[in-house]
Amino acid sequence: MIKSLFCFKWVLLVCVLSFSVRAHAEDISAQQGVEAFLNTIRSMEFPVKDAAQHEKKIKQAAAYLDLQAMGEKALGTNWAVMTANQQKQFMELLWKLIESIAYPRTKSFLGDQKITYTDVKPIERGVEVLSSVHDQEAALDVPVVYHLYQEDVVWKIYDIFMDGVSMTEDLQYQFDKMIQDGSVQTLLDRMSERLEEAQKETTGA
Amino acid sequence: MSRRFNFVHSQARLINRYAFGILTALLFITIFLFPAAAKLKIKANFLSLLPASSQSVKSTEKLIDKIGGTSYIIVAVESEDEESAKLAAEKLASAAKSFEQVESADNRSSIPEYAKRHMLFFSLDSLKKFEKEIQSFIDYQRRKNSPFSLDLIQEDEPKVNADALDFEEKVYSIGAFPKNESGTVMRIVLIKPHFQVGDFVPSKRLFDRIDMAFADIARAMPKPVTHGITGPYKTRYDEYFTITQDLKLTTAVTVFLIAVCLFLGFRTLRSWALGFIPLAVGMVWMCAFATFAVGYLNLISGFLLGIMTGMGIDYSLHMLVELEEERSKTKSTFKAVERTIRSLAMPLFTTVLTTIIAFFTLTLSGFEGYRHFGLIAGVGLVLCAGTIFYGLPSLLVAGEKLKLFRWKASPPRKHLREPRRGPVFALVGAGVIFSIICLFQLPRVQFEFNFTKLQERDAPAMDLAQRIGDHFGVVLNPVAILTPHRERAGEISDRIKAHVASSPQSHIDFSASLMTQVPRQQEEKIAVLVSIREKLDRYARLIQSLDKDARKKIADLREQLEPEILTLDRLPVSVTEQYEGKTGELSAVFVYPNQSIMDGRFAQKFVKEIQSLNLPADAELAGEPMIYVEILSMLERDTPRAVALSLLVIIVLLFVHFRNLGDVMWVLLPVLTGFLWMCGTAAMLGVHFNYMNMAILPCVLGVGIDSGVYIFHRYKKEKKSTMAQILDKTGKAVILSSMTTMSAFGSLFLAKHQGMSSMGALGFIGFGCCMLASVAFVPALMETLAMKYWRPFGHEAKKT
Repeated sequence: MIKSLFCFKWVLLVCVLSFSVRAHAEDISAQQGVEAFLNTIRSMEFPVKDAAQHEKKIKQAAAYLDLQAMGEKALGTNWAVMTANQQKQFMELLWKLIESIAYPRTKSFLGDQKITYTDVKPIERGVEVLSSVHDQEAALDVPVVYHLYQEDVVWKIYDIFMDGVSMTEDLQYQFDKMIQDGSVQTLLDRMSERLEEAQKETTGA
Repeated sequence: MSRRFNFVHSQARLINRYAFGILTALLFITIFLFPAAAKLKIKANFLSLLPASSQSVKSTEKLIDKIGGTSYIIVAVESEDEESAKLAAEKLASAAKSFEQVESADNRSSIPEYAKRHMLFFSLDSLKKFEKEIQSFIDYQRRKNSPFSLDLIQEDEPKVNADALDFEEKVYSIGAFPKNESGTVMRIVLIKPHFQVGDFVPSKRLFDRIDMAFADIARAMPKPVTHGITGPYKTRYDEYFTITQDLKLTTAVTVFLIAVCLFLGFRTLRSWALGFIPLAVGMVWMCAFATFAVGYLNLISGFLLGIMTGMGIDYSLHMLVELEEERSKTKSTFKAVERTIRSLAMPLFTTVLTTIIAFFTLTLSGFEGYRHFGLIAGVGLVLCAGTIFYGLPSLLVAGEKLKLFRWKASPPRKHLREPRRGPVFALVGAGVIFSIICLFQLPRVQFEFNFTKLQERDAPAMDLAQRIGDHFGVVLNPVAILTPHRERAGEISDRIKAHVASSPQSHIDFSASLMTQVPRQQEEKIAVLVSIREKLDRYARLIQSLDKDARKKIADLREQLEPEILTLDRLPVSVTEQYEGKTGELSAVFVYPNQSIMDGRFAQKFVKEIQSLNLPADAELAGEPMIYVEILSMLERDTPRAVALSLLVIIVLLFVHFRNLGDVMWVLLPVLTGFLWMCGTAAMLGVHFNYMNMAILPCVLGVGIDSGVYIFHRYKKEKKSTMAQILDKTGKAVILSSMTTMSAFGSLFLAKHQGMSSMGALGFIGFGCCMLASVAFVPALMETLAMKYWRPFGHEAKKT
């Protein structure tokens, strides 16, 4: 009996220790995921010179981003109203817009600014990574918060907050306005149109 | 010998014997009276048009005495550059404080107590809306700056305009804060002098000093700044200056035109001396009388000098015509004087009497403008008639004795050719047709209720006052309700606000008391401002990325986001004094109209609405609108009474004189016809009656009757029954005297002061119509009737 109790204590200790180690590992992984995502974007070249290389980096960055979740959330109830075709078209366009607009802008925004990671906190779904981008020109720190969850071994970003405002909400504002002023198709048309413009800018055409 | 003959003979003998004595006496009396006459001043304000006992005058004087009224010199500083306007206004206020004539100078745009409290004066709803605008602006900027923004929507930058915030109380907009309107920022500096409105000499000095100080300040400003001066001190001074200049100009023109008339009528320089000297003496006496009896001339009696010159010369003309005629018939001056006096004494007496009755009926009016006009004109006319009656023949006698005048035996007079029947009928027909036309025009006769149309033309100070009102969206010239204490004032102000809110047709824009100067819901407003400040702090990085102008605006806004609560005891002294004066014995509520009160009809409705609010017994209404309304009420009440009464008294007098209804009707016919034609012509030409030109209606009546008396006297006493006979000699005098009077009024056309000019227009038309009726229509009518149907006064009708 005593032996059994002793064994149970060891098991408990191992469990507790392993949980805390795991938790620490998760922290590091989430932050590393964000760092890897940002580094991938920083390493991209705009306008694109080496298309194959660029495509490879796009894929790497995409692995850290759950754009499906972001897109669905930004569309809200409109997602369900869309046909499967429209949903597919929407996601394709959204990916391409992120690649053509958000990545170049993020690269430009980050520049050589120093990023400090201040904390990692558990939240309802996954964790949030708190960081601050030091804007040397304005002598101001820009708070940027990433929400991530773990899928298998990979941490995926499902929202980014800048100046306290969610990127998903920003997208939602734009999508809602387009749909309210027209229809889902209007949104898709506008996304296509915007993509064309952005691709011209990205390729330097 | 009759008593009348005795009188005439004795007067002729007196003049003949004591001509030098009479002239010496006239000269000495004139020298004695001249200093008093020279002291006569003009009061160019509406207050002097009402009796001192009038309630509105008493209350307004109380307002001025206890609170200071609205008596400020208002300097508007304008620039396209906000900073330059602010700096120039501050420097001017500071410079003005050092002027010895200035009691206080207040740059309303930069009151220290308000410096960080501007936002408290806006409504809570407006501040909440403003907070939303700021949020939208931030969101927009955030989207624009966010790397993840896809720019799907084309959106304009949301407008954040602190200038568009709504004041909680409209009174806050009156100069208290700068406002950018059409790219121009206006700042207001209020200067309170030590002296009263109407002290024109120190006023002029102070205006010059302000102009000079501002010129120096403007040179040192980074961007161009301009200034303008207005307010009661300036507008009264400008009006006084305009009237003074107008009087000089019109009197000179009147004298010149009369001189031309005299020359055309007599073609001798002698007629000038004989015509003008006794009249000038009479005018000096009249001015001296005005100084002793009243002390000043008001806006209406101020025009008497010109008018009396035109009217007074009439007596000289009649005497001159008669004297020339008689002197050419006889070599004896005595006989000529005696015959002239015999011929003219009665008509002269009657005409003087009828005209002064017309003038004196004006003294029964409660309207001081008419009362003074009637009194001074009535007495002045008697004095002029007296100096002319004795002075003119005395001058003639003395001139002859000194051999200054030489009379040539005149060639036999060329009598007017007997007109044929056709022209006489044509004149009658034209007169009747024109009378019918005029009769139909009567409903179109209009009264001008707009006081601005009675002031100086293109008055810059008036225009600036209007522009200040427009700039701040407020009609100035409020009615002041004087109350015993601030709580009562607050209570009345609240009652008026409730009334305005429930009356869409109200003529009241808003009301304000001292309590109104303390913003409401300050704690809630401060909470909104704190929230705005937190937003700005949170998005400091975004703000940093904005352009320089936007950053400056936000920096200015930040200064207004930490206000302390403003309490009654922390209100600036200048604001407290505006409502309670220095003594604090009274507390005023200012009630602002929603249209210009210079429109008299509107002013009447506005005041009536305030009076209908059942204000407490201890509240008194004061201010300029009350004065305007009382003037209008008195005019509406007194003018018809004055005209009717003078007509009635004149009719009675004519009855006493002629003792025959027919005779009286014939004497009245020219003036009644002239009156009808005057009204019809005025309606056709768009000349409106107003409170200034209506004062001349009794003049037209009196002088018009004079013409009737002279014509009828000729007709009845001298048994002249044809138009040619009637007009021969008497016609010349009547035409000449009408022309001189018309010259006096015609010269008023040149006046810059529109009220004065309107008197000229109506007088010219009125006397012209009376003249035409007297010398053309009525004599033609008499002749027509005498041809067939009438046996006037027993002599034979003209054979046709």
